[in-house]
Amino acid sequence: MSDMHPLSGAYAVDALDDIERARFERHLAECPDCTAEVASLREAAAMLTHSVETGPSADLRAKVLAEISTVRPLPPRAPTQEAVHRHARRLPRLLAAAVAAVVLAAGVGLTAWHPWDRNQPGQSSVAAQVMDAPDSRRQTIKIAGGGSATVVHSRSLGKAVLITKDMPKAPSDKVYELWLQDSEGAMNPAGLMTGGRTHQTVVLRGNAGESTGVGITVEPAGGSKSPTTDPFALFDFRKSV
Amino acid sequence: MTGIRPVPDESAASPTTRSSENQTFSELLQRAGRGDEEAFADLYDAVASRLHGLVLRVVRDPAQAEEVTQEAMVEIWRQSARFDPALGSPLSWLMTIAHRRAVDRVRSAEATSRRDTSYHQRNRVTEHDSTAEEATQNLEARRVRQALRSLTDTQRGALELAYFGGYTHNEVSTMLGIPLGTAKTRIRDGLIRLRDTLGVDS
Repeated sequence: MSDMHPLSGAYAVDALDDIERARFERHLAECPDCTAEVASLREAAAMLTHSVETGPSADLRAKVLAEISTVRPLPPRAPTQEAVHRHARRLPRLLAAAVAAVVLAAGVGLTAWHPWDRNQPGQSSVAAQVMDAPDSRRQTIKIAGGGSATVVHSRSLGKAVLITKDMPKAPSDKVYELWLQDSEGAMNPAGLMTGGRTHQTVVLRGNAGESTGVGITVEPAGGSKSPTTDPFALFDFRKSV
Repeated sequence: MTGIRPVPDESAASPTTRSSENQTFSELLQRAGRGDEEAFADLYDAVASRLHGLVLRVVRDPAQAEEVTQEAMVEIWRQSARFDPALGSPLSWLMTIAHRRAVDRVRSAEATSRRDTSYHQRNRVTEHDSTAEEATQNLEARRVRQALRSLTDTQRGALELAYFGGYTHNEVSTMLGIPLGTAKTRIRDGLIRLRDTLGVDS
């Protein structure tokens, strides 16, 4: 337990601001107790919805059903299933859940599930916090195909942000994938750049506090667990100012 | 708390209902994840009023609440194959997505009417009377109301502002005039007591 622990309740009901949430999520990745507690408190909070039932208007159903027919469901995240089930047999359910969450969060950055992974409206504020942090450092690289990319990172916040300008779109059926490089040189998946816009601000997933750099590669649609091509942009944090 | 009115005891504990409901939701999500739109329609029918009720409580503006409910539903469809029963119940997963969307909407909106505490307080009583009436039909709602009675008034107050009001714990502490740091403790203690009373921690 740490001084983060009392925040579990506020986290479970989304009562943390962006920066507190980012900090708490870093803590969650290392604290099975908090992970299990958050899961159980979310169960309790969800029960509260029994007391506020109000049906939406009748035409919302038709709208939703029309919209989903145009949206492709994401594939399941399979890689860590085996590990999860191996633990689940031995451990009580909640502890297993905690282990699973930690495996998900710590093992493969991309598989840490958050309902808000997409379209994070809070993301701009996390980005702003990183840029405003007293220990914030930045570095800009020109992209060979045109445009530029800047990485801003803050060790105290454990976050890195990528800002692109006029960067060419990824080729069709390819995607740009971001990587956090650790001190041993390994590249850990830190999210995908989606949306096809050439100006983007993306908060990298994972703990950038101990990373030594950031890479960007071209990967098959959906992303990869480790880079399949050489990074076309590589940021060494030691060169950041 | 003015938010949720306690009702007399009922011998209506129904963990069995809850687990069979979760079983059904898990299966529907699994089918939806494979692109089964009928399964998703069934899921929609089963959870829409709970999900929209939550969104409406946070967002308050009915038109915006419908937009948020629609966004949340489409997001649930998109993510359905990623629901993992090992990490929690389907209901909790669904409501986490919806709540998060609702909170994002109100925090980015800077809606001054909603941010006005006195407006918030003034509108509570009538609103809750109508929802309370509706919910007395529902045994599970009675259990929840009963469980809420086991919280202290201060715990209920802080929890309601956070969960239904969509306020941060810092905002809650200011609104309630309590020291910074006390609100988060009340929210957590309130949830823990709720969890233990409802027996959902299993």
